[in-house]
Amino acid sequence: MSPYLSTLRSMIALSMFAAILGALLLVPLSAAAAGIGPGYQEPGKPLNHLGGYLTAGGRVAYCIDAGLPSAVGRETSDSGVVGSVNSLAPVEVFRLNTVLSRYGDTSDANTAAAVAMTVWSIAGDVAYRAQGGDGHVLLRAPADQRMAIQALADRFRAEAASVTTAEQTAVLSISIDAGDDYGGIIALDASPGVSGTVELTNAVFADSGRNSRASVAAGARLVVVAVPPSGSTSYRVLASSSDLSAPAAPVASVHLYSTSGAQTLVASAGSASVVLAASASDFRDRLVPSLTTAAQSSAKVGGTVIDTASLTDVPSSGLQLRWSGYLQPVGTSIPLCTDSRLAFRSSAPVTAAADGVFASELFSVTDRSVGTVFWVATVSRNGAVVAEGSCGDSTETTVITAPAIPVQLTPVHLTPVHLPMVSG
Amino acid sequence: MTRTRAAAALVVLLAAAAALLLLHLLADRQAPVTRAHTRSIEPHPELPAARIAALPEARYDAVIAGLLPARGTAGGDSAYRVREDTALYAADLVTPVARLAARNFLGEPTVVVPVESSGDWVRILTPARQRLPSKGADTSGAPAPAQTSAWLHAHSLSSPTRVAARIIVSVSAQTLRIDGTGTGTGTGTGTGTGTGTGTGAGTGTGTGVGESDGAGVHTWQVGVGAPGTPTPTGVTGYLEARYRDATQGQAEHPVQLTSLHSAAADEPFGGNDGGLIGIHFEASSSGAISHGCIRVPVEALTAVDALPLGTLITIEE
Repeated sequence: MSPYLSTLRSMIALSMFAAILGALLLVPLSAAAAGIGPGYQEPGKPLNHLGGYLTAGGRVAYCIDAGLPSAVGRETSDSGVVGSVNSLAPVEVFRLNTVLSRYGDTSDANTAAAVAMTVWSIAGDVAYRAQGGDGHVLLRAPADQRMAIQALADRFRAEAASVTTAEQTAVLSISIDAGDDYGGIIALDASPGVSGTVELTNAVFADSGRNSRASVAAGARLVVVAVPPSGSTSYRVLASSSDLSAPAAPVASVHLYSTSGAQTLVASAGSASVVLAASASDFRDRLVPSLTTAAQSSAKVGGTVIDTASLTDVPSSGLQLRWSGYLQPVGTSIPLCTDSRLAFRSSAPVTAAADGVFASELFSVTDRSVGTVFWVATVSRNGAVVAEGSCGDSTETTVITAPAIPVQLTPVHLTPVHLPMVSG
Repeated sequence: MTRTRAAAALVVLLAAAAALLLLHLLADRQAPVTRAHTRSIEPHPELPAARIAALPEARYDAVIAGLLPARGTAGGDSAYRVREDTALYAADLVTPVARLAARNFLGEPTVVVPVESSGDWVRILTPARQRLPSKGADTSGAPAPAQTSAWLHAHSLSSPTRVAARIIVSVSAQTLRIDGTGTGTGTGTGTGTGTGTGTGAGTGTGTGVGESDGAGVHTWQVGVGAPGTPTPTGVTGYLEARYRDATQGQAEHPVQLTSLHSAAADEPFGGNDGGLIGIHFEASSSGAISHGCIRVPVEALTAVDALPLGTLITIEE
């Protein structure tokens, strides 16, 4: 084959490809004449139609260009689903599709006539009224049907007007109980019908004790209990959901049928389901009770010994305090706080309902506890330890001996230099 | 060779055309949409301690122009302490304007009352002034505020306490009322709109000039500011501290210092402590007779003294 012939064949192939591509992309998917659909025509003027038009694909479409020539009998192209037409605002497109989705696909003449009237008023009320409005187009319908059509159109318009947004929303929020950092409420504020699974981090649902709940619906208010991560000094509760599904609803789009020089037709673009994700976090760190302790430094046999604990960030639901004293073996410097070394233990927990300093009971000292005692204070809530001292703290050491060592506490007085003078 | 290249080109082009056709057809389909509503946690601004220390302290006698006027009724159901000396910020949440000491002039933990939240920030009422009344109205015509506020990072808060009650003073009726001294529950939401409810369940103890409706509401006749030294109205402050002070004739009944200041004069009672509005006992406790303070009978003082620091006080016309 000569190079010339080869090049020619390649060019022919490319030309064929371009023709195919152009046919696929540059011209509408289908081009056919729209026909008269359900509705009414003015006697003697069949193109003065009040109602829907039948597309080549069998859809019922409606005119949005009052005053332009009819698309009937002309080549009408299917432009597919579009989110914008005739410079209408998104909410107007959404209202159009809402009416079209609910009532557009009909074979009933009255319904189609009312949908047509509604579509005209949404798509261009000024132009529609300039053409004569409802009073003008209703003349195309039989006199005994006009009131019924008008009532339907009024209803459709009211439904459309009630549509203010196409946006489906879901917002999770977490509150912290004002008096108890372990408490709070998870709230799901969402569009009606939205529901999904909510997962918690550092918390559980109060009624189930689980950190996950399915089918949480819009408007839900669920009590949660914080579960601090082990060893943390502060933390936040998190809530999240990635499967909040909203029921299928009309979208802010319409199916467009274009006709050069004539009326544009629109049909329903259908509905779509929406999956939402939402998450929330505490607005501040949740507080973990802070514990500092101080034991009586020395005691004598026959006397008593006491340990104290200072607690801050105590939840109003209260905490329980217990103290244990461990007698250390002679000759070792390694702190040992095991049950085998237990010399003292609280007979009952002390409840702390607010920040403050709390004292253990007075433990009686016998000659069996002579030596060095290390104290460990344990703070628990609902049976779970939330704070605990460590074995061997210097402030948690009591040296117990036979001779008495008097202990005298000197009160500290804070005397302000100046007290503010109020206005009297 | 040439024929092979031409055939390969045609195959590639046809494949591309098929892909474009497929995309074109799929364009009409409505795919599920996923939208996320996520709140982010703002980082805590770590202001160096030296910078915090250099800021003016928002004390009862300070005047700090960067503070925010706080007029009208404010809400809140919790009081807190602050972990350490903390910077207070302007409304832009960036500009530090003052320092709040962790301990007040009595050496006690400073109590703060959030009245608004936004993300990780809370707006608290402060003890200091923003402007002196003698400076006249500002450019918008507003007089010096009787109460100020500023923003604080929530990270600084500790030791939450529920504050169920609220003090309401009516200047025109010359009454002091305590609402909701019973138990209550409250929540502060993470969306920046703090909400709370308090349900009164107390029993009345008011005697003499006081009244009680048995539902956690107590009312007493009180003395308020004289016409020349009026008690500020239309504002909400909080109980800041309480102390006995023989030099003020209050050795027996503790003065209830509020965060409010006179809006009529810099120092209506003289001195230089900031024109402070207090609630204090006075044998003569009715009429428009004070320099701005709320003069109360012993029963009312006892009731106010029993409220936690941080309790809000709203002064109405």
